[in-house]
Amino acid sequence: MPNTAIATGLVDFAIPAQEMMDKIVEFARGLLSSNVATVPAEDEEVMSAYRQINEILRTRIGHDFSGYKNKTFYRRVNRRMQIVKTETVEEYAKYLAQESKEVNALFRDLLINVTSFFRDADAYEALQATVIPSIFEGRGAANSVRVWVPGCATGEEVYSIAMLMREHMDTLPTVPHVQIFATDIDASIVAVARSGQYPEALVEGVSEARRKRFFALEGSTYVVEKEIRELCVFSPHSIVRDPPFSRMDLVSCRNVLIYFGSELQNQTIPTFHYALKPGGYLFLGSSENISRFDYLFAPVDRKQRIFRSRAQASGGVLVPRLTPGIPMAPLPSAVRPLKTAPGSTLRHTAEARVLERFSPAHVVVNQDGDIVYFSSRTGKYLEAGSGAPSRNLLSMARKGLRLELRTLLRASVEKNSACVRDNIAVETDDGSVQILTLVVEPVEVADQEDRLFLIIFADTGPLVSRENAINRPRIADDAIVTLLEHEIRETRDKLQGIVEEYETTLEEVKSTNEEILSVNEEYQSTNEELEASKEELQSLNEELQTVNSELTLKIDALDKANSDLCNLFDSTQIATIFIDQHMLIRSFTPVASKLFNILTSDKGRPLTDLSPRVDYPEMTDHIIKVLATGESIEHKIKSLNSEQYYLARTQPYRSSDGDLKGAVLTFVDISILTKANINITNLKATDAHLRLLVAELNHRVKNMLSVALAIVKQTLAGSPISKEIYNSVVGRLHGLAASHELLVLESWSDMNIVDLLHKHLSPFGLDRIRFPNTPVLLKPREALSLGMVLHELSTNAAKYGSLSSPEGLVTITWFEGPGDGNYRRLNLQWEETGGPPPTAPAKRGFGMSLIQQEVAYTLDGNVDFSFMHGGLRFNLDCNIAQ
Amino acid sequence: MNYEKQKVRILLVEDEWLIALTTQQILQDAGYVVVGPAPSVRTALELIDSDRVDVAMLDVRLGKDTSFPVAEALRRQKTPFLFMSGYERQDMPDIFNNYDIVAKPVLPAILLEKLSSLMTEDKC
Repeated sequence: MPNTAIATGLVDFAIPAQEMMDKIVEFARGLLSSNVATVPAEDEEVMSAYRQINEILRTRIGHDFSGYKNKTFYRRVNRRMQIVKTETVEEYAKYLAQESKEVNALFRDLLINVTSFFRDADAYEALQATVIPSIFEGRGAANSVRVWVPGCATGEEVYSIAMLMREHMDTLPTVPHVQIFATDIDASIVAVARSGQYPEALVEGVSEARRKRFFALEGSTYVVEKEIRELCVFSPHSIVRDPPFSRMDLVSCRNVLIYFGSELQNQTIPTFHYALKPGGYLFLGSSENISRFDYLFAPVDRKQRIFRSRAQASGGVLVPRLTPGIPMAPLPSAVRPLKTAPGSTLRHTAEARVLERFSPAHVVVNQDGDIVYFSSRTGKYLEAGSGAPSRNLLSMARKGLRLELRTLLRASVEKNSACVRDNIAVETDDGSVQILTLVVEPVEVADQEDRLFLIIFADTGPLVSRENAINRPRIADDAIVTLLEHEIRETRDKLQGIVEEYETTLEEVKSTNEEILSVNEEYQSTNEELEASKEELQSLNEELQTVNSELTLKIDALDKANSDLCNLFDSTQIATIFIDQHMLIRSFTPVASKLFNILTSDKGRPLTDLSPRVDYPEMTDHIIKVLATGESIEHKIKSLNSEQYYLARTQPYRSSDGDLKGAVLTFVDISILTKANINITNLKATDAHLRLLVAELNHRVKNMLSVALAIVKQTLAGSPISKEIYNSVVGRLHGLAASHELLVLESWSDMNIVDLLHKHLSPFGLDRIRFPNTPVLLKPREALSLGMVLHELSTNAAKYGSLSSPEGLVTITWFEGPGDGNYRRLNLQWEETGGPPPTAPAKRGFGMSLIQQEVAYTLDGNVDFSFMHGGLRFNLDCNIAQ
Repeated sequence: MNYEKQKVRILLVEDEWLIALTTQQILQDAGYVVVGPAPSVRTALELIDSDRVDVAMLDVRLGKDTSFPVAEALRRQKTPFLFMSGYERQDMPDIFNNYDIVAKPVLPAILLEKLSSLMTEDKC
């Protein structure tokens, strides 16, 4: 938003917020002190300073503000003086001469660009109700409607009109080509208008419906929609300096003329008349008027300042002046109406009466010969010519007078003094002749810029007949005189003829000149249009360049993607073939070429024409199916001449929008997979066989143990050995069998110490043997050894220890800790309590020896038996594998 | 080579203590001196280094290991030995093809006979 504001050039200061306060105070002070200066003193120095300022503007910017209203001009200059903090106009003029930036700033300020959408809503309603329908009436698609908005400023007026036109166009069956030329002298403001972007505050005047229809909201900015924007052509142009546009249906120039002085207004309004087609409309601001040009324009709606160009205005075609200050060839038809001298006093009336009765007929003309005042009774000398009404003296003069009048007027203009010619004959309508004296003398009239000349037609003698008149000058009867007079008359007649011829030629030259001028204007208009088109083209070109650079980027990305794909194709070991709906080959990977004998030249050939090296007769059916259903098909195939297996997958090829555009065939080599599968199957069989063997073996070992047990039992049963020995042998064999059974259950893998204890100790009643549920994993061999130890301990406890009495208990605890190298340390304690006092520790039986040796030999550990008062305490320390 | 029975020192390598104990008794009863028994490769190699060993009897399987390193050491120093195992001939490395294998469980008579034939054979 601030940037947009600065871009309009209407912002005087763009400064940080903390500095604003000081600036405002400063500015307010300047306002107070400069109040005096707002009304410029009639001081010659001040005036010359203003002129100097104007001169600087004219030379630097090329725009002449001398025609602008003085008050406006002074006010604007004073405003700038406050901003740059200069006290006097002279100082400011000096400052302006040095600072080129200030010249631009002043220029901007002088062109106050205050406008808004639908400023004066009533006026726009009137425009919509009457003017626009009338403009479009009877225009077909081949016609065009042209509108010119000079002084368009930031474009609100242009877009307002464009919106009205668009709305009207919506009601028409055929729409003519509409062009709205929007011009402003300030090129930078034209650029702002061209962009068509407005902050929300500026579009408040636009109704909600129009805002929705004609604007796009981008952030907080309203952007004029393309359909409106395309109606408008923007270009820098000066109404005063540049040639006008032409053949317009409507010229809307609101609140521009108010800043112009009367001379500039007088120049501009005929320009508008020129620019308009006959019957075209002129739309002015509420405080502007056509002033005295009502012969050029007829009011349509006086209140809303809508005027209509008169079809054939009196005074002929008004060609506007191109360069002010350089006089153009005077055109006799370009009448500038001049004010007549007022006179109202009695004396004046009386004098006028006397003059009317007794004075000779006279007229007052300007130096171009245009009559600005007629006296009474001039009809004898002047008559209205045919064609367009004209007030030119020479074209109105009666025969015989024209030449004399021209000569005398020219002489008088040149000499700036009175010129007299006697004895001039003028022919009246009835054929009689009046002799008269012609006087032409310059007159000084106050308030008149043009030089004026009084022309007096003073009759000498009464009317005479033609014959008398011819004979009248016969002063001497001299034949020579007669001859000479005759000769003179002839010469005069010839001269008259030549003069008439000359005048005709002059008229022709004039009309040619006019034609050239209007052709020039046409060219100028065409040129403007071309420039506008060029500007459009440039912006189009810029757009194209942006699009082009975007495209280049996309192409780069595409190239990369393509090369990635090519590399993927080349590197992949998966044979892939792309075909279209008609089974024609589109592309394939190098591996596929081996499988199908495809050459690069085969692209575009039907896939079915090729003879594949794989056994896949169903391929065509599969492709047809996939193309029909869009579902992929997998099929396992074999190579024709080698042990290669492939997984052929036919998949639909879908374009980015999901349409079925063909199919993709992939052939994945699954030979290794197939072989591995076979191997796995074999392994599985071996594994199963081994399992069977192991189970059989386990069974056999169990049986063997049972048989061994049975043999021992049978052998010992008949022998005279003690019951004790029998029990211990059989018990140990049972213990071995129990451990073995456990290992079989665990498939000879690691065994939990808790399970081992359960197995060996449950026959003695687990309510009396207590141990924690702390898991320690043992290797099978370790489990067998420990099982043997537990068996010896428990049978001993049941025979002699705590389990032999009903109150006795066994408490087993163990802990596991880090050991040497790959081993862990296991410590196990067996504590008997509540049993009978332990007996004979010295008598170490085979049991204790077995425990000690087994632990030392197999477990690389040591044991300790201590016989406390309450019973045996056994401690085991050994290494177990990780 | 002539062996005095009292002086013949037999290295016994066997990881199962009860078997080792039983075998040791058989050998001692027959008048041999038993070096060991050694339950592991490490112990057996230490005994070979530190003691005089005339003949050796090796169990093949020693826990997770085999007694082949011991056999190799013995072969190198040309000490006669035999294997005492549940392993069959085909399970053995070829370099030990010349050495006898006594199947477990072995009868004491057979064991002693094998031993004495081992000592009478001039293998050294």
